[in-house]
Amino acid sequence: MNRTRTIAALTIGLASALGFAGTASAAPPDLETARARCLTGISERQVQLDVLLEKSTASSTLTDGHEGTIGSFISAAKNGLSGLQAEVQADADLASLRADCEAVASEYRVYALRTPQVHLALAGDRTAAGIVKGNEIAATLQTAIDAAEANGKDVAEVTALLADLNAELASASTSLSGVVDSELGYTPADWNANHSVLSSATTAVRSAHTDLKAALVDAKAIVAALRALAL
Amino acid sequence: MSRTFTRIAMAAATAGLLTLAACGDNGDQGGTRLNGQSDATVVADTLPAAATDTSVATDTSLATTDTEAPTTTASTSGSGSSATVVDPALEQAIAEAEALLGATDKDLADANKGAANGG
Repeated sequence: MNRTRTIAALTIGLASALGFAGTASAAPPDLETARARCLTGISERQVQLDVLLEKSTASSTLTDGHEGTIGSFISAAKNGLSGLQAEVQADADLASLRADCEAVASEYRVYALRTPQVHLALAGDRTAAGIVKGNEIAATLQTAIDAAEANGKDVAEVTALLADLNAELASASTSLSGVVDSELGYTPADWNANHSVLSSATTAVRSAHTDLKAALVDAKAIVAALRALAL
Repeated sequence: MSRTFTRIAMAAATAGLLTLAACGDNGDQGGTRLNGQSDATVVADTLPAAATDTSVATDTSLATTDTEAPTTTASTSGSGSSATVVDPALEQAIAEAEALLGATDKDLADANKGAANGG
């Protein structure tokens, strides 16, 4: 009787553990059904890791250092999941299958951690490239404003706009400083201990992105104003 | 007779080509300004930032232009005394920066989607 209860509890627990691979059916899965779901979960994560690696290698703005970090943890996760796949295929009882299936999620956190980490790195480095370009734009605008002033134009408005633009670029740069280095350093264990581990990095990248967007609005306004001055 | 006809036809064709070339010159000169905007400006203004998103092709093309710093050049039209205040390269740089922003929007959305998946 006790043994029956234990097996029932284990089976229900396994259904919970496999929740990541799909909605657990009302009836507890048998060993082979559970194994199949677990293997599907592993395969899906392997595909996702490939997608993340492809995105990082394709990006022209991701720094070499960040690309290296991403490549390293993706490679480790792929190897680890391959090892787990072999263990899952060999599991002969529900308890060991359950433990291995839980590890698929808890030890790699492909969706909860690695996916946002990579996208935040892509977003952060892309924004950093945008800031570099924004600074080039600001320098060119300054030259154009100086030329307009030399021609006797009233440049008070465009000068104020350029000051605003430069402040926004500086703010974006400050927000972004060291953020990608830091957020790429988090591990699945960090996420397991604190599910909000990426929150501050996400806020920082969004803030820099918003500042850069505002800076470009200013740049376009300056261009329009300079064009009006030239008429 | 046939030779004469050929000469006349060649002369007519040459005159036609010269006329077309002249029209082309005029067209180029006329096309550099449209309500104060250069052709390059018009093209740059119509570039959809969002269309570039995360496509690999766009990402690569951005890399090829990243090193091109915009420059300001003196105008060769008009009185010759005023500087060109808006260089087309500048607007191209703004369009490229906007494309980066569009791609970043997609990255941030994908980051949220990943986090929402759990596991």
